[in-house]
Amino acid sequence: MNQFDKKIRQKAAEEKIKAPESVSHPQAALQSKNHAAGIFE
Amino acid sequence: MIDNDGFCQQIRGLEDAMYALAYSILRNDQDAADAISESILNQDAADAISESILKAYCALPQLKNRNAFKSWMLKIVNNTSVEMLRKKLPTAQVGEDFDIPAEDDRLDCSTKMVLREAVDHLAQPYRTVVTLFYYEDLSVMEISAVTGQSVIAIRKQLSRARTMLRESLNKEDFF
Repeated sequence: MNQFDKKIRQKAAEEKIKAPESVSHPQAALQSKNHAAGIFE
Repeated sequence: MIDNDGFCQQIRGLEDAMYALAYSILRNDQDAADAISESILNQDAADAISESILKAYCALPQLKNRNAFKSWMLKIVNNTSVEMLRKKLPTAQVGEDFDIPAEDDRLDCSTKMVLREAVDHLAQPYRTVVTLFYYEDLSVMEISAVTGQSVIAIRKQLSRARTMLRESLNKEDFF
Protein backbone atom coordinates (compact mmCIF):
# COMPACT_ATOMS: atom_id res chain seq x y z
CA MET A 1 0.00 0.00 0.00
CA ASN A 2 1.40 3.40 -0.97
CA GLN A 3 1.77 6.43 1.28
CA PHE A 4 -1.32 8.10 -0.12
CA ASP A 5 -3.50 5.09 0.68
CA LYS A 6 -2.03 4.79 4.16
CA LYS A 7 -2.67 8.44 4.89
CA ILE A 8 -6.25 8.29 3.59
CA ARG A 9 -7.02 5.11 5.52
CA GLN A 10 -5.62 6.68 8.67
CA LYS A 11 -7.76 9.76 8.18
CA ALA A 12 -10.78 7.60 7.33
CA ALA A 13 -10.33 5.78 10.63
CA GLU A 14 -10.35 9.13 12.43
CA GLU A 15 -13.46 10.22 10.55
CA LYS A 16 -15.13 6.82 10.77
CA ILE A 17 -18.64 6.79 9.35
CA LYS A 18 -21.02 5.87 12.15
CA ALA A 19 -24.55 4.66 11.61
CA PRO A 20 -27.17 6.70 13.45
CA GLU A 21 -28.69 4.72 16.30
CA SER A 22 -31.98 4.41 14.46
CA VAL A 23 -30.45 2.85 11.38
CA SER A 24 -29.76 -0.72 12.24
CA HIS A 25 -31.31 -3.06 14.70
CA PRO A 26 -31.70 -6.59 13.38
CA GLN A 27 -34.76 -7.63 15.36
CA ALA A 28 -36.55 -4.35 14.69
CA ALA A 29 -35.71 -4.55 11.00
CA LEU A 30 -37.23 -7.99 10.71
CA GLN A 31 -40.25 -7.30 12.86
CA SER A 32 -41.02 -4.00 11.14
CA LYS A 33 -41.59 -5.87 7.93
CA ASN A 34 -44.11 -8.16 9.57
CA HIS A 35 -42.40 -11.03 7.84
CA ALA A 36 -40.59 -12.54 10.69
CA ALA A 37 -42.07 -11.24 13.91
CA GLY A 38 -41.19 -13.55 16.71
CA ILE A 39 -38.23 -15.11 14.97
CA PHE A 40 -35.92 -13.59 17.49
CA GLU A 41 -36.81 -14.08 21.12
CA MET B 1 -24.95 -22.49 9.42
CA ILE B 2 -25.40 -19.28 11.41
CA ASP B 3 -28.13 -19.35 14.07
CA ASN B 4 -30.38 -16.42 14.95
CA ASP B 5 -28.13 -15.07 17.68
CA GLY B 6 -25.10 -15.38 15.46
CA PHE B 7 -26.91 -13.59 12.66
CA CYS B 8 -27.88 -10.67 14.92
CA GLN B 9 -24.37 -10.46 16.29
CA GLN B 10 -22.83 -10.36 12.82
CA ILE B 11 -25.32 -7.72 11.68
CA ARG B 12 -24.57 -5.52 14.67
CA GLY B 13 -20.89 -5.72 13.87
CA LEU B 14 -21.56 -4.49 10.36
CA GLU B 15 -24.00 -1.69 11.03
CA ASP B 16 -21.50 1.12 10.38
CA ALA B 17 -20.26 -0.54 7.20
CA MET B 18 -23.80 -1.14 5.95
CA TYR B 19 -24.73 2.44 6.67
CA ALA B 20 -21.61 3.84 5.00
CA LEU B 21 -22.31 1.79 1.88
CA ALA B 22 -26.04 2.59 1.68
CA TYR B 23 -25.29 6.27 2.32
CA SER B 24 -22.67 6.40 -0.41
CA ILE B 25 -25.09 4.96 -2.96
CA LEU B 26 -28.27 6.76 -1.96
CA ARG B 27 -26.60 10.15 -1.69
CA ASN B 28 -27.23 11.10 -5.29
CA ASP B 29 -25.42 14.06 -6.78
CA GLN B 30 -28.52 16.23 -6.80
CA ASP B 31 -28.92 16.05 -3.02
CA ALA B 32 -28.08 19.26 -1.25
CA ALA B 33 -26.27 18.78 2.02
CA ASP B 34 -28.94 20.54 4.03
CA ALA B 35 -30.63 19.18 7.12
CA ILE B 36 -33.77 18.03 5.32
CA SER B 37 -31.85 16.12 2.68
CA GLU B 38 -29.64 14.55 5.32
CA SER B 39 -32.68 13.47 7.27
CA ILE B 40 -34.32 11.92 4.21
CA LEU B 41 -31.04 10.33 3.25
CA ASN B 42 -30.63 8.78 6.69
CA GLN B 43 -34.16 7.40 6.48
CA ASP B 44 -33.48 5.99 3.00
CA ALA B 45 -30.31 4.36 4.29
CA ALA B 46 -32.21 2.95 7.27
CA ASP B 47 -34.88 1.55 4.93
CA ALA B 48 -32.24 0.00 2.67
CA ILE B 49 -30.55 -1.62 5.65
CA SER B 50 -33.81 -2.95 7.09
CA GLU B 51 -34.73 -4.42 3.72
CA SER B 52 -31.27 -5.90 3.37
CA ILE B 53 -31.38 -7.52 6.81
CA LEU B 54 -34.66 -9.18 5.93
CA LYS B 55 -33.33 -10.39 2.57
CA ALA B 56 -30.20 -11.69 4.25
CA TYR B 57 -32.15 -13.55 6.88
CA CYS B 58 -34.30 -15.22 4.25
CA ALA B 59 -31.26 -16.10 2.15
CA LEU B 60 -29.12 -17.20 5.08
CA PRO B 61 -29.35 -20.92 4.29
CA GLN B 62 -27.65 -20.16 0.96
CA LEU B 63 -24.57 -18.75 2.67
CA LYS B 64 -22.06 -21.58 2.60
CA ASN B 65 -18.99 -19.79 3.92
CA ARG B 66 -19.43 -18.03 7.26
CA ASN B 67 -16.17 -16.18 6.74
CA ALA B 68 -17.65 -14.47 3.71
CA PHE B 69 -20.54 -13.01 5.70
CA LYS B 70 -19.33 -9.41 5.48
CA SER B 71 -18.92 -9.40 1.69
CA TRP B 72 -22.17 -11.32 1.27
CA MET B 73 -24.11 -8.91 3.49
CA LEU B 74 -22.61 -5.81 1.88
CA LYS B 75 -23.48 -7.16 -1.54
CA ILE B 76 -27.11 -7.40 -0.45
CA VAL B 77 -26.97 -3.83 0.90
CA ASN B 78 -25.35 -2.68 -2.36
CA ASN B 79 -28.00 -4.31 -4.54
CA THR B 80 -30.88 -3.13 -2.36
CA SER B 81 -29.58 0.45 -2.29
CA VAL B 82 -29.05 0.54 -6.06
CA GLU B 83 -32.56 -0.85 -6.54
CA MET B 84 -33.97 1.85 -4.22
CA LEU B 85 -32.07 4.57 -6.06
CA ARG B 86 -33.39 3.36 -9.40
CA LYS B 87 -36.95 3.58 -8.08
CA LYS B 88 -36.29 6.98 -6.56
CA LEU B 89 -34.64 8.39 -9.66
CA PRO B 90 -36.11 6.58 -12.63
CA THR B 91 -34.16 8.68 -15.11
CA ALA B 92 -30.84 8.50 -13.27
CA GLN B 93 -27.98 6.64 -14.86
CA VAL B 94 -27.12 4.62 -11.78
CA GLY B 95 -23.50 3.65 -11.67
CA GLU B 96 -22.58 5.72 -14.68
CA ASP B 97 -19.64 8.09 -14.55
CA PHE B 98 -20.53 11.64 -13.71
CA ASP B 99 -18.49 14.78 -14.11
CA ILE B 100 -16.41 15.98 -11.21
CA PRO B 101 -18.47 18.50 -9.21
CA ALA B 102 -17.76 22.17 -9.58
CA GLU B 103 -14.84 23.33 -7.49
CA ASP B 104 -16.96 25.64 -5.33
CA ASP B 105 -19.18 22.74 -4.31
CA ARG B 106 -16.41 20.43 -3.24
CA LEU B 107 -15.21 21.38 0.18
CA ASP B 108 -16.24 23.48 3.10
CA CYS B 109 -13.15 24.80 4.85
CA SER B 110 -15.08 25.39 8.06
CA THR B 111 -15.36 21.69 8.90
CA LYS B 112 -12.77 19.30 10.21
CA MET B 113 -14.27 16.36 8.35
CA VAL B 114 -12.10 17.20 5.37
CA LEU B 115 -11.85 13.70 3.94
CA ARG B 116 -15.50 12.84 4.52
CA GLU B 117 -16.61 15.97 2.70
CA ALA B 118 -14.27 15.28 -0.18
CA VAL B 119 -15.60 11.73 -0.45
CA ASP B 120 -19.21 12.89 -0.23
CA HIS B 121 -18.60 15.18 -3.18
CA LEU B 122 -17.19 12.43 -5.38
CA ALA B 123 -19.53 11.20 -8.08
CA GLN B 124 -20.55 7.59 -8.38
CA PRO B 125 -19.16 4.97 -8.66
CA TYR B 126 -16.09 6.56 -7.04
CA ARG B 127 -17.85 7.45 -3.79
CA THR B 128 -18.84 3.86 -3.11
CA VAL B 129 -15.46 2.41 -4.09
CA VAL B 130 -13.61 4.90 -1.88
CA THR B 131 -15.97 4.27 1.01
CA LEU B 132 -15.45 0.52 0.85
CA PHE B 133 -11.69 0.70 0.27
CA TYR B 134 -10.64 3.41 2.70
CA TYR B 135 -13.37 3.46 5.35
CA GLU B 136 -14.19 -0.25 5.46
CA ASP B 137 -10.75 -1.60 4.54
CA LEU B 138 -12.12 -3.92 1.88
CA SER B 139 -9.71 -5.25 -0.72
CA VAL B 140 -10.21 -4.69 -4.44
CA MET B 141 -11.33 -8.33 -4.72
CA GLU B 142 -13.88 -7.87 -1.95
CA ILE B 143 -15.21 -4.64 -3.50
CA SER B 144 -15.55 -6.51 -6.77
CA ALA B 145 -17.61 -9.17 -5.01
CA VAL B 146 -19.81 -6.58 -3.27
CA THR B 147 -20.52 -4.40 -6.31
CA GLY B 148 -20.57 -7.13 -8.95
CA GLN B 149 -18.03 -5.27 -11.08
CA SER B 150 -14.78 -6.71 -12.35
CA VAL B 151 -11.53 -6.36 -10.44
CA ILE B 152 -10.10 -4.37 -13.35
CA ALA B 153 -13.03 -1.95 -13.27
CA ILE B 154 -12.63 -1.45 -9.53
CA ARG B 155 -8.90 -0.80 -9.91
CA LYS B 156 -9.61 1.83 -12.58
CA GLN B 157 -12.28 3.48 -10.46
CA LEU B 158 -9.99 3.51 -7.46
CA SER B 159 -7.21 5.04 -9.51
CA ARG B 160 -9.45 7.83 -10.80
CA ALA B 161 -10.87 8.36 -7.33
CA ARG B 162 -7.35 8.79 -5.93
CA THR B 163 -6.62 11.48 -8.53
CA MET B 164 -9.82 13.35 -7.69
CA LEU B 165 -9.29 13.01 -3.95
CA ARG B 166 -5.68 14.16 -4.20
CA GLU B 167 -6.75 17.18 -6.20
CA SER B 168 -9.46 18.11 -3.71
CA LEU B 169 -7.38 17.47 -0.62
CA ASN B 170 -4.37 19.36 -1.95
CA LYS B 171 -6.49 22.48 -1.93
CA GLU B 172 -7.07 21.94 1.77
CA ASP B 173 -3.39 21.45 2.61
CA PHE B 174 -4.29 17.95 3.66
CA PHE B 175 -0.89 16.51 2.89
